[in-house]
Amino acid sequence: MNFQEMIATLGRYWAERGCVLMQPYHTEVGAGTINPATFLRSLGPRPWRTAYVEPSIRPMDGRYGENPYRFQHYFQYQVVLKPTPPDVLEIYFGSLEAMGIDLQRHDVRLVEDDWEQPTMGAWGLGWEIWLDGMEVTQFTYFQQLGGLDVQLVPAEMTYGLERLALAIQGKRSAFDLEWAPGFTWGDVSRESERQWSIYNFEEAPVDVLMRRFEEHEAECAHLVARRLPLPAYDQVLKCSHTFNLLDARGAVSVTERASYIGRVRTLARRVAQLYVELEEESLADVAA
Amino acid sequence: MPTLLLEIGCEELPASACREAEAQLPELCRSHLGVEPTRLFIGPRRLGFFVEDLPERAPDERRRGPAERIAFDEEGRPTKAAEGFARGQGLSVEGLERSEGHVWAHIPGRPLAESLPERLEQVVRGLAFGKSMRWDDGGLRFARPVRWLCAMLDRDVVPFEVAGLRAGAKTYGHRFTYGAVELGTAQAYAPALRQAEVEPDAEARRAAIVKALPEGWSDPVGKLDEVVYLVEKPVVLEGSFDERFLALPAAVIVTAMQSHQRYFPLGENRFAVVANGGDPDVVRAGNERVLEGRLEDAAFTLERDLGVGLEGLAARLGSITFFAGAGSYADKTARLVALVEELGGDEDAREAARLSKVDQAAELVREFPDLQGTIGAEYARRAGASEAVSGAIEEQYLPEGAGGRLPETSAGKLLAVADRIDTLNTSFGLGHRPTGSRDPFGLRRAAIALCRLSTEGGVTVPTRLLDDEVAAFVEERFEGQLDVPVEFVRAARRAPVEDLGSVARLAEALGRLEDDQLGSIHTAYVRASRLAEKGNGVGELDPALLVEPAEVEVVRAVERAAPEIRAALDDDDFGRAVTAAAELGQPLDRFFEEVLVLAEDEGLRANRLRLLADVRDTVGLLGDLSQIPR
Repeated sequence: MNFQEMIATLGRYWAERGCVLMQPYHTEVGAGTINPATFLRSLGPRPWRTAYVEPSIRPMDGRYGENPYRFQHYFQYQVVLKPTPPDVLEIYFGSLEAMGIDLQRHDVRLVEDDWEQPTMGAWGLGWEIWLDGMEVTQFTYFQQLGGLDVQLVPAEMTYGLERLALAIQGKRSAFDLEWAPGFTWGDVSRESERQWSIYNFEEAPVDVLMRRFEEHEAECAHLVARRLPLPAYDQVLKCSHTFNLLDARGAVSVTERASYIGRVRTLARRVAQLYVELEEESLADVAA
Repeated sequence: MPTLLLEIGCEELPASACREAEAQLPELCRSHLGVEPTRLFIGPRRLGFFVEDLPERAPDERRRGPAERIAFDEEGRPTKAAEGFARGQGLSVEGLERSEGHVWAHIPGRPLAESLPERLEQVVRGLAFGKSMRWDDGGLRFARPVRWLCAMLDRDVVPFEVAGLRAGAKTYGHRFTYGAVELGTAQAYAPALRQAEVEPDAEARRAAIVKALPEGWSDPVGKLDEVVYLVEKPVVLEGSFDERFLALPAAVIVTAMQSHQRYFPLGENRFAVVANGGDPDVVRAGNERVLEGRLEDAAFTLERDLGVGLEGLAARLGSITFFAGAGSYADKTARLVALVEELGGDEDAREAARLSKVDQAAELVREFPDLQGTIGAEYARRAGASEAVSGAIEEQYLPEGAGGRLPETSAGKLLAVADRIDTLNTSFGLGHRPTGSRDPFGLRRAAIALCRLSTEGGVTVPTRLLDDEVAAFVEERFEGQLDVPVEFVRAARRAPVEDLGSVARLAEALGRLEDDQLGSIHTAYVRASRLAEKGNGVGELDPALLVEPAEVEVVRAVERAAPEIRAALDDDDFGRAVTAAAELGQPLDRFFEEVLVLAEDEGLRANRLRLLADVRDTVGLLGDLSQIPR
């Protein structure tokens, strides 16, 4: 099964199970978890089910397209079921079968993983799901996001699409994965990896980025004051990505690092609180 | 007697949670069922136990009521309080017992079968985990979601409910090869699960894994204890990786195999993996691909580091912060070189110090943080450094704990000492003193390492290299490290010795003194120092004023002992120093018996106080013996 068939199969599978198929977010995110379709929608009292592909942008992880296992831009498939159905694991395993993985022939294991994202004030418990020793999915029961306890516990499943494809296609290099007939993952992404690595590590303008961080931070605070959590949240994402770029440029010392992370976390908390407030108000309106 | 089975069916539990449950279940059973389980069944998807000798009745209970003086009035008649308590317990006032100043209700245990449902619920709810979670609105917190309960007393289901889950006779076999298994009796549990491709007994799984591991397996990081709880149906497979990866540092390969993949190294390019089932060829091939991917990734990173080169990495240390306020790793390196020099290090030790932190700039250390030091040593070797230098770099973080291995090379020991001194001095200087259980900079561990390096490691660590607060903090660690009562350490800490090891050896020498020897110099020291305080401590001893024979004897004893103690201390011969001081005991006993120190004659009195000050200072060479309680 090639890369785009995997994505299509997952989309079909989760759509049949009541998920809203969202699209990748338009602002850079390091992981599908901080797409608002997961991060914000997992908060508050409303049930939610979604599935979508998320390009994961991690400037630090670029290797100029030379390393077949490290990329600054790769793909996750993100699923959230809120609240968690009791047979959530069986449903998840069904998605592997849908992609042609025979669970009786492979060794599928759930290996403890305590997920934590201090920048976003978030944590949960779950597993790395291993397919013959390859971590193909991160499975997390969210407990806190933006410093707030979740009201309905969501299950988050983040498939690492490249790793899953390596296992399914039996390849040793992501560049050799078949994306579509006649096109490899490398055809699609390799040159982009090279150029972006140069940008991330060498060209991204440190002074400008530092200024931008401050601007996004100020704009976020302003939008929170205007009670607009959704646009405010985009500013959190922009802060987070700007910080990641500065980090890749080696412009963040250990001390400053903690302070940047603390600033993003403060923003994330304020936005999360405001989001939940508005959600609860709107539910109360409906009830009234 | 009937057999009771309880199984809590879970989504895959972490090994640590399995061990917590394993430790708690016996006590939980004892308190709620009155007996310990006869067998435990602990695995990733189930926490279970058998009780094969369940008593007919629950244990009797004693419940405490009001104090006797409240329960009975002055005439000894029961009060309203006593009547109310008795009624609440379903007893008459006459049925109350009186002891320990209270009245008590003795409640005979009910037949267990009646109360079993609520008792099993308490067992389930009683399990507590270091990390726990919610998964629905049932309100139960557990290490991972609980999905079923199976509870049987012989042939009957024990009906109980926890957080919306109802116990039944159903359990579940292997996740991917077997579904639900209906039990006819409690006793059928283990055989039925084995039929369903699950070994429920952790020890049986461990034995099966150990038996199946090929000859020559090793477990340097200690993963077996985790793997036992990662699988229900252990299948041991042997795999190998491309020999070209053997060019990687061995520690990198072992970490990738063990810490990341939970494999067991078999030597060379071979490894064993414990799977939970599957087609052996498929599972082996997949695991080989994964390990090779990890090694390939490490090889890329290694290439990049080697491309930068040892000196290139060293040049980057200036831009890496050691920690806030403590400068960069380049600053730290300069301090280490100076310290090693102060400690008497030779050229190898100084070179090792210069290169000791180079690997902090290496990308491979970012990927394998536990291998700091090891990777630095490897890079030094590849750049042509001598074994004395690279060995020292490798050993700088030893010992890792109170029982860990010590460095073996002399340069390694000095570097390890210098590293700890610098970390302690800079941390304390910035106000990062450990408080209570909080010690984020690992300063207690660093201090204990310094203690061990100065004693077992034989490194002379001059106390003057430590800031005052640090010296006190480190010396306090000896109180827990040495096999002598803490007061001996406190006494020795006040001796005029100049290095850490001397404090320890003096404390130990004091601890070895026979009780009567210690008794007499202890008394002498305490009395002498107490009295000497009354003197003005000036002037010389006047031989003409020594009128009593006992005085003269003490003077001679001090004249013999003082140089002997000093010489022994200079030779680091603390046993001899202590023995020499003990010689003062008898003459002083006699002195205090026969001589009136506070004589009426002012001259005699001053001279005697002067003599006692000498005694105090001489015995005081061994420390402040008044710290030792007698």
